[in-house]
Amino acid sequence: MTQYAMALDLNRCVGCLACVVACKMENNVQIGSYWNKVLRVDPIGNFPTMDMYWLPVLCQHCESPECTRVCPTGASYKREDGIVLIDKSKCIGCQYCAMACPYGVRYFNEEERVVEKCTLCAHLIERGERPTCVEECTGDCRHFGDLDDPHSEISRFLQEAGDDVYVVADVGNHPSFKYILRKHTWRSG
Amino acid sequence: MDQPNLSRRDFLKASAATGAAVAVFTPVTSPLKGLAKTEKPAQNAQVERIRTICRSCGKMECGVWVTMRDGRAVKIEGDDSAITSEGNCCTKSMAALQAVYHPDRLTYPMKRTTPKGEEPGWVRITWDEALTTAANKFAEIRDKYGPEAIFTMGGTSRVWSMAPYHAAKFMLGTPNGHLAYQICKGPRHFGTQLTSFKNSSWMALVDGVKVFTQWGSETTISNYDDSGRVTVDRRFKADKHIVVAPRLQHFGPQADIWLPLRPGTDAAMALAWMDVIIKEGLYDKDFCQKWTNGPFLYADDIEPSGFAWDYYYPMEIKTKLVKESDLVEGGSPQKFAVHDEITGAIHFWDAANDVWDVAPPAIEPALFGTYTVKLKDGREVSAKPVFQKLADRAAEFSPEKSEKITWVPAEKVKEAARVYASKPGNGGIHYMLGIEQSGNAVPNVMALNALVCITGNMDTPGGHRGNTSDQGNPAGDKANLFGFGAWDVGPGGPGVSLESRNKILGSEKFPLLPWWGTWADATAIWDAIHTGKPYPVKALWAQSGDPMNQSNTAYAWEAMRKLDFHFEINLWHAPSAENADILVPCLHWLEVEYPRSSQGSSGGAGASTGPVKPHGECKHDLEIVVGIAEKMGIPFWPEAFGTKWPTLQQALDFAVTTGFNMTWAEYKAKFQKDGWWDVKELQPDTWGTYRRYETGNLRNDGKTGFPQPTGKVELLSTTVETYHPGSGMELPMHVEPPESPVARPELYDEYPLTCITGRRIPVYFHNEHRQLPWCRENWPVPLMEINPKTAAKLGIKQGDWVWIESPYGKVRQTADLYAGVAENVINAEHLWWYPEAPSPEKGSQYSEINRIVNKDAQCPICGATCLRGYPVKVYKAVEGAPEGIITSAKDPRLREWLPLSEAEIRG
Repeated sequence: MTQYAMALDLNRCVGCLACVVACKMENNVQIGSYWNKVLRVDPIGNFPTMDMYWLPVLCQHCESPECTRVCPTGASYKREDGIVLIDKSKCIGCQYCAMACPYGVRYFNEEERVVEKCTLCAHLIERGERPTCVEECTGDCRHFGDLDDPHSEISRFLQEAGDDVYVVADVGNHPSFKYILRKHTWRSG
Repeated sequence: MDQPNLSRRDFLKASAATGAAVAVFTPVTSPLKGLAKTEKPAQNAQVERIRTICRSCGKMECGVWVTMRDGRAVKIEGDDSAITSEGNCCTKSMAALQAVYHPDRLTYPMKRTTPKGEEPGWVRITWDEALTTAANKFAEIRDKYGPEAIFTMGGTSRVWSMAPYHAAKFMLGTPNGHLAYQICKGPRHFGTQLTSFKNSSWMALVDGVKVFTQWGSETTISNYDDSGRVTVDRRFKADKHIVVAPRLQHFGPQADIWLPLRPGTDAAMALAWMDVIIKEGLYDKDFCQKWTNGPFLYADDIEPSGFAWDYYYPMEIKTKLVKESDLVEGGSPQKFAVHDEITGAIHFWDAANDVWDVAPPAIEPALFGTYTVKLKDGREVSAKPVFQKLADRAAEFSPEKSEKITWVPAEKVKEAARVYASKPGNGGIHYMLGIEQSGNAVPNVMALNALVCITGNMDTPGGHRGNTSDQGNPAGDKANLFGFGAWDVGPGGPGVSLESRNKILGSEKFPLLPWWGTWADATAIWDAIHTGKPYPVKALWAQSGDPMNQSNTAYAWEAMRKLDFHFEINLWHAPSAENADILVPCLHWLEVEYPRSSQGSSGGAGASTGPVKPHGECKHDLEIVVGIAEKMGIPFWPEAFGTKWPTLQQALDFAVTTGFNMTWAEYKAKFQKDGWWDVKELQPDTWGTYRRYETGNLRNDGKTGFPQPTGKVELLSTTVETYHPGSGMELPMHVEPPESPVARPELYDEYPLTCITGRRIPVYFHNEHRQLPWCRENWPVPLMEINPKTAAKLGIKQGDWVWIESPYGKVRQTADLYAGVAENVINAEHLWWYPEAPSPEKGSQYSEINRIVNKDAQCPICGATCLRGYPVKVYKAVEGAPEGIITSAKDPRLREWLPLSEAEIRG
């Protein structure tokens, strides 16, 4: 099997938003929609002893995605390589999927009357390239590849990361993306 | 690179899924279409990638690739081959696609038809009329009031728009420029020119460091001379990471040690480090003895005396350093006395002849102690080595003593100092803008430069190396890669006379301004317009400058309306432009051709190659500047060059003839093919060698050491001693920020919070990019950081519009509850204007934070305004947002700002 995914090394994320704009440039994302966004996980503690980190959030290309389950037309689907996509020709714009997504990363395109989201830049992957947010990440924080291939770059990176690997809140959908955070308290589970 | 392992069927599905978006978007609402890869280019589409240099911030020369499709820029991405930026490409760079084709760009020359202060009623005119009017007006005002009645205004380093710094002043004969440089980078260069060499503030982070020390800097966001990518990489390759900054920055959570100092107390902190470093013997003794004036004896009880020194400016140095001329009749005033610990005898460093009478290690110049020296009149006086005086000064700011000043516990300060100086050469200090805007800029720079020098980080790998190779290189002409820096200096003009230079505005209050000879004090310019004193100021040449970046900008705005004539070159209807009489359009960086080497220490050379065909009637800045020179009959080039007024092509060719022996076309072609030049290879002596003070390549006269009156790093600046005698600022000194709770406690009852400003915003560069949808949708309104506890006390919630009020004015921003600022500090954004708001103010009156600063609170040496660290109160704005501005990403006006199509642009 194949499961394309990302592992994000959060210690190297500086909240610069380069990935956000790179995504928009590559994918013509509507103004006001964000297939990829970066959250500030606010500092906790008392100044100046605090803990904070930046959290890029995008479609997690889940193992058991809620969005595909609730889609009435089969427009949202999971490919054999693990990427979750939307077939716009089948989408009726009901937005059930956007409501079902635990991460709020699906956006309704008012002009096309369809839902859109991160495609993991499938069109680039198919050419042997990496997703644009991986390429343009300022801190080189994003590692991309096939989780099911133990020799892939992402798998090797995760093996080295040891115990500092997290996933965002899992409500049974089993997000595929991994987050690495060292020396800080993970608060996004 | 992961290889694709997909079936044809998958590929088609993916294409269907993503391709649809492109098809619907393309023709109607959004003419710019990034080349989404699933959208198969038409069979005959011409697609090419052009290598160029990004200038969306004007700070770092990030190498980028621009994908052109049928002549249209559709994608910008980092160039991994750029040795300087290593593939970095930020939000601002990518959003340049929306700037170059923006519907609001200026595309033809205009003149105003209404009085200043009103909507300008712009009317289109020809280039000939624009340039002729400007030339006639400048000549008229110059002839009537003198050249000083004209001032220039320049922003940041786009290079091709730097005429206000040099060429325009040289042409007009005026010393007066309102330059962003006065409050950004300039003080670092001023302070280092006073003590080591100009711009040794720049460190070579790209080399890698053992200890990465960020001090008032955040290059992950600013990309200031080191790209964000290089910053993150080198930090994780370093053993330790120290941050010195008042608030928790973007990269702050990754620091091993964070010293959250009180705003503006940087020199006190640096002195505390030096106290630890000197007491614990962590300084680089060899460097201090041989290459600083640390061992030179200084006697408080002698009359200051000295010698003429005309390296930067004709000076008469007057110092209490003990010289041979103080000790023996007929002795040289340029031989500086040291005490030899081996024999107890006096020996001399002869600065004029670049030689010791007996050189170390045969002597051991004392750094510490108190010695009696016998003067030529027989009097005996006590003298101390400069290093001892530095140690005494530092001891006044020991970690325990400075704790009250900096608010940082002594133990943390000691830990940081010990880590930084665990051995000499651990790396420089990435000190930047944050230390320049608290009304004590140059003293802060001098303190940090001293810290860098005594720890052995001057011109070392990862240390402070200065400008790569251009006019700023201390080795002077022999280091210039490009002919006279091409265009910011027009060598044919009359220049600025010494008499005129001495009249530079602000020199009465800041006596070193003529020595510096670069900026007039901004406040002094506005004062002169308002009062006519010390002489009238009537006209302005503005070229991508900005009146909002310093002094009190409400005061500046009123002054600008009083000018007889204002000529402006700009990309936009920015607030400054709306006061102009003549407004002309320049090229965007995607259209500009220009050679460029690293401004800082990153060590690369390349080119802006201008992949996009110029828009409308927009002109290259050089053509505009030369056009005015020609209309005024002022030669831009000297006769010997064969033409007085070069074409753009001639200037480009000339620029690369000197260092490369190529035509511009050849240079550009080589850059396309092979990428960036490594300047270490091009300039092995003036850039490729470290510790150039040993080889004579840190001066333009071939002497070893540093371009200073004593020839050494001046831990005690003889220039400051000469121009500010008795001030104490000749040594590193804590100057209390003039608007701080310590300096102005009476103000803090009513205004209890300290306001800092100027943090970098990921999608903006100072006042730029607020009309670009990809930028504004991510950051629609200014966010003022306030501690949640303070906000709770004031009844302020996340997102509330609040008034920020100082004794000098008030503006509105929104509250961002952020525990990363101290409870008694707020952090506002700077330089907000709203392109969607009406002319002439363009919303600059609503939120622009420098409307509430004290114009007269300034650095005592260079005049940089105190823009950070002043008293304010904050309260909820019952009025809410300023009327009519965009406050959300959903505002439909953002989509109206999407790029024009080729048909709309080219007709």
